[in-house]
Amino acid sequence: MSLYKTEGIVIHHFDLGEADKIITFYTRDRGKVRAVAKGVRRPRSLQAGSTQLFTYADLLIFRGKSLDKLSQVDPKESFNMLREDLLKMAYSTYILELVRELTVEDDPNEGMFVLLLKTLYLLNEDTDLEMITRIFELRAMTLMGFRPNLDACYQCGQESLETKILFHPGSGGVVCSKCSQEMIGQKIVISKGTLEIMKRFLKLNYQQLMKLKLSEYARKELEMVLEPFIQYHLDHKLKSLEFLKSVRGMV
Amino acid sequence: MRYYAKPLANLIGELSKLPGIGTRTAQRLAFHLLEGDYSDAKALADAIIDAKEKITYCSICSNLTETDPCYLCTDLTREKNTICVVESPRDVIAMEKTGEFKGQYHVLHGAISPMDGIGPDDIRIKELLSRVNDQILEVIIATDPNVEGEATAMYISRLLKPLGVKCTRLAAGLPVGGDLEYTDEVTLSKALEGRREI
Repeated sequence: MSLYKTEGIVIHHFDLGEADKIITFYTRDRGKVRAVAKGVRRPRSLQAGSTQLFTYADLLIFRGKSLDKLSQVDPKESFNMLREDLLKMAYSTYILELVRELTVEDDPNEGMFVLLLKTLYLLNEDTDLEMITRIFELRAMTLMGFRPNLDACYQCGQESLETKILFHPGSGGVVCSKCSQEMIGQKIVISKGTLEIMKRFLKLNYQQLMKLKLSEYARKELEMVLEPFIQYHLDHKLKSLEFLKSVRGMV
Repeated sequence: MRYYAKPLANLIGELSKLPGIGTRTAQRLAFHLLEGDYSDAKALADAIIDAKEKITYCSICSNLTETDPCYLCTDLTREKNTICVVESPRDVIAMEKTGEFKGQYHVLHGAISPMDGIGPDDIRIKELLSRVNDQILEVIIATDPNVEGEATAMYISRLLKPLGVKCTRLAAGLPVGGDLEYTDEVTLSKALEGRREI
């Protein structure tokens, strides 16, 4: 019997056959793991409630030949608010999709797990959903090895003294205006203040971060930088982004 | 290497495209059809073509139907002022089996699932909005009680609220004949939340 115990968060699921599902978990010690959950689409299933998106649970998984099988699941936190508020739901599905796209199976990354869990807790309780998401984007990219270079021009190493700064998603950081002329692809103009906020997002702890108040201007710039930056590295658009934007437009 | 005669291989191939049917089952079904009467095989083939040709979507409720509008929409004994919104035609049948609901239906053909790229425009929400007018007193949202279903329900209620229509959601809780101690936390807290006076 090769059973293993772990804890994880449900980040995706899809139907299999008549009553089963394949659940994708992001686990603390094994990274992204997929497991078949038998019979969870039947109304009497005991595991149905615990295999919903966002759920954080203790897991007992049977290591199968091709696919793993979910044996027991004991929920620790179900993040109810994320299901009951449309905007929260839209932001958190975006977060889950980002994790799913950035990671590969069986590649443990405890930092990523902790970041995801913390982010879901914050989205569940806090109100500044946009800032929580931006912090997550920046930190998740850093954990995956795409930490943006924010200190000096990527090409010549010169620290920018200008008030307007150029961010180049292709080279993953800021570039000075001289070097930027040789670079192809989109370049985004941001203010020094926004750059400073991005540095803080990576440096401060969450207690300090949640006290930050972002201006409307900084929010816009952060979105303008991070969306193309992530898209450049993933090579495609995230599906839930469009929905997130349409829900934000409704409020 | 060829194991089967061409028409037989063809039949097995087509059957194994069906959900839940692998090559092994497809092979059994194919042999069963071959061994059976010609009339049985013909009846099956005709039924498939017949259903495929005659079944369309109802122009009012988007349910599957032979006549347009469907028999539920044209039934004069049914109330015209409530609409029950469901995800699939199978849900209409489930609701009809209860015999409790006497209003109109609206079939969305799916639920919002942002991660799979299914947005509000990919299911029949627009058609629902065009049906809601002054005569409609209540819209009952009967989507599945999972994340996708809840998101769809919230999205629809957001769109309908400004129109001044009463929007209700099916209750979630303990299954009849169930056992309280084996109920999961999420369901139980939902049941507690939706408790009513007796």
